[in-house]
Amino acid sequence: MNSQIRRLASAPLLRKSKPDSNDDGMDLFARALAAQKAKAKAEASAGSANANSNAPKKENQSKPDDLDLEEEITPEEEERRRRWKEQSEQAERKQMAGRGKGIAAVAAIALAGSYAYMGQATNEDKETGFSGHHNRVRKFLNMGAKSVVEPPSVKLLPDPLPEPYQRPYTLCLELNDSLVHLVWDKDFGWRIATRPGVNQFISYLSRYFEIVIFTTSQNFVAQPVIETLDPYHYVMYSLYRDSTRLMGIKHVKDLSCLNRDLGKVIVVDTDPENFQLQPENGIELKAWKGEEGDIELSKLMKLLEEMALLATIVNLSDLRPLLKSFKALSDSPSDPWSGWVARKEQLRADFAEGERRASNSGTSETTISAPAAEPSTVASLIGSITGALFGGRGMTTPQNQQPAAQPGSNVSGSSLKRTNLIDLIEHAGKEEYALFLKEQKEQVKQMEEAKKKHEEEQMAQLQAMKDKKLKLFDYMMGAGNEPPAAPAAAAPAPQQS
Amino acid sequence: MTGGRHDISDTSRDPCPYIIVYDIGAAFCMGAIGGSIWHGFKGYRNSPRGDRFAGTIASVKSRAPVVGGGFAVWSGLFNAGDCTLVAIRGKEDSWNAIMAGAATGGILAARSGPQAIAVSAAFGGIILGIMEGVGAMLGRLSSDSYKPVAPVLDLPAAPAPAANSSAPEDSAAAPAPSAPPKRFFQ
Repeated sequence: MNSQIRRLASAPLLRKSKPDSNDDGMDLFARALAAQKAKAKAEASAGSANANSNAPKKENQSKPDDLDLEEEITPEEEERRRRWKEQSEQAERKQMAGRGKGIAAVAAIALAGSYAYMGQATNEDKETGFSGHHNRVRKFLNMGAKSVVEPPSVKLLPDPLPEPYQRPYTLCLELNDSLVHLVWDKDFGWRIATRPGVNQFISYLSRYFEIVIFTTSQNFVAQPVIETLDPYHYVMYSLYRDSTRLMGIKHVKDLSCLNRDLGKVIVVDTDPENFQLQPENGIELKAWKGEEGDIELSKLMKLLEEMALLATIVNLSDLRPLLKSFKALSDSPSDPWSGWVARKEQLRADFAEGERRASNSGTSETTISAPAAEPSTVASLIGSITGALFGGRGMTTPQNQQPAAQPGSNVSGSSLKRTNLIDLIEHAGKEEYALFLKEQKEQVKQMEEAKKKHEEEQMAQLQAMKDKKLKLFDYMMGAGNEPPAAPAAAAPAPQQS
Repeated sequence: MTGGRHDISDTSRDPCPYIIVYDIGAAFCMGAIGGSIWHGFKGYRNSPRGDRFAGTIASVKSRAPVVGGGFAVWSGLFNAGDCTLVAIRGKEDSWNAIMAGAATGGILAARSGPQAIAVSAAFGGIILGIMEGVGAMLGRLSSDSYKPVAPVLDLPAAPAPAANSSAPEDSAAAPAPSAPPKRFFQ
């Protein structure tokens, strides 16, 4: 018996039934029993027939097809097997149905519970009744859906700093493919290439603009990049993908949430769809994929510097008409420099015209009627300022040094040659940049010292926190967030508690 | 050569074709370690008293790689589906992951008939949906620590404006910005 079972275990499963019938091999075992009974019967009859047969029964030499499957199935056996199969299939179906019902019940309870929770009466909304409840549920779900799409608040940046520190204008820069390019290869993994001129760009323009890096990268990706790119914090603030507005699949930078006057904000991006809500504030930059010899950033730096100088001297309260005027003249949308050059020529000519008119109509006139068909605010402002501000005084450059006015002659505009405002800002920009380059080494040294001091302060703070021996519970209750208490205030506190 | 992703947004993952191989290995390791613990325990419990250590080892040796292999297959199919959907759709959002999870569940039940495929695909999609949702939640909660904070200025008269919200992680209390050059701004 044992040897036969062992033989069965090693025999291939000859299944005549369907593969997913779950009868646990009872079929095979029953068949084996029946086969054995039949063989015993046959041997008994054969043994009585040839009592001195000299064919020894070697059990362990019989082949697997000793299991005579077909001949031994009697009708009752058939019936029994069929009923067994039916029962097991039924039991299995009931079990699956039971499980399904259980899952459905749990899901129903969860849905009902969340419906009740979402529709709870809040302080603002105490409508009773089913419709009130349902409205609150809908409001809850809408808020959830909106929070994915909208920027987290309408004041993404802190309020502007007080006067001497706040730059007059704000510049929002994109990171990917504008300032840096991320590259992956098999040997080194992710690496970051910085665009030629990016360090000058950021450190120089921080004199004129409040630089904000507003990027569509995720925060955990972009923050280390910005840390490395800008170790001395020329960049005031950084905003990431979670501060953008999701429109379709595009992450759009919504400048109206920036908490800054929109007339004083410029956004620079490689993809104009990223500032589609305020296209008049945007400058498109050519994308950089890591190739050599890229000069876009230095051109943009010059453009922004001259624009900032012009806007500051003329005291422009809204940059957008100026942006529009030179973007309209560009050769292509991603080449703003050509447009700016063209616009400067126009302004230069307008200024010269204004000058001519001012000098022709004498110095008593303090205002100039702007020439007809003057499209831009800037040119008319230049015209009026010419007479008002510069009448009688010449702004001279080293190239245009005029001899001192003769005594007795009227200090009228006609005798002194006034410098064109555009020449002025170009010259001022060059001077300022040369100064910046000279000061750069000094500034780097100062920044290094400031950084070291800052790190030391942070270590001291960490040490102070370690000394206080706060546990996890204290952190959860907000213990680590207070500014370090003054010693005088801290002293009486332990005595009171 | 950069990988196939159009919008490189996540530098913690390798780009698309390579992430499949990387994640298969990672998933195998996870499954092998978890399976070792699970089946080691089971082998210990199910073996006779004198033979417990041998039983544990035998059980781990035979079953833990199988669990690891299962995880690896799941991860390989999922990443392949995800990369394919990103390439086809051209966008990168959570729907790619959810659909790839459903596809994985469906493919792995393909031998058991259409009903099993449907159930398995639903479960795969739901699991991935939950994972993506939790990931998005965590991202939103953690974005507080990246909020812009105003620098603390040493102003003589007025008290320093309070730096908002929680303890900033780094780069918040930067050295105070220098005043702009006075030459042209008067």
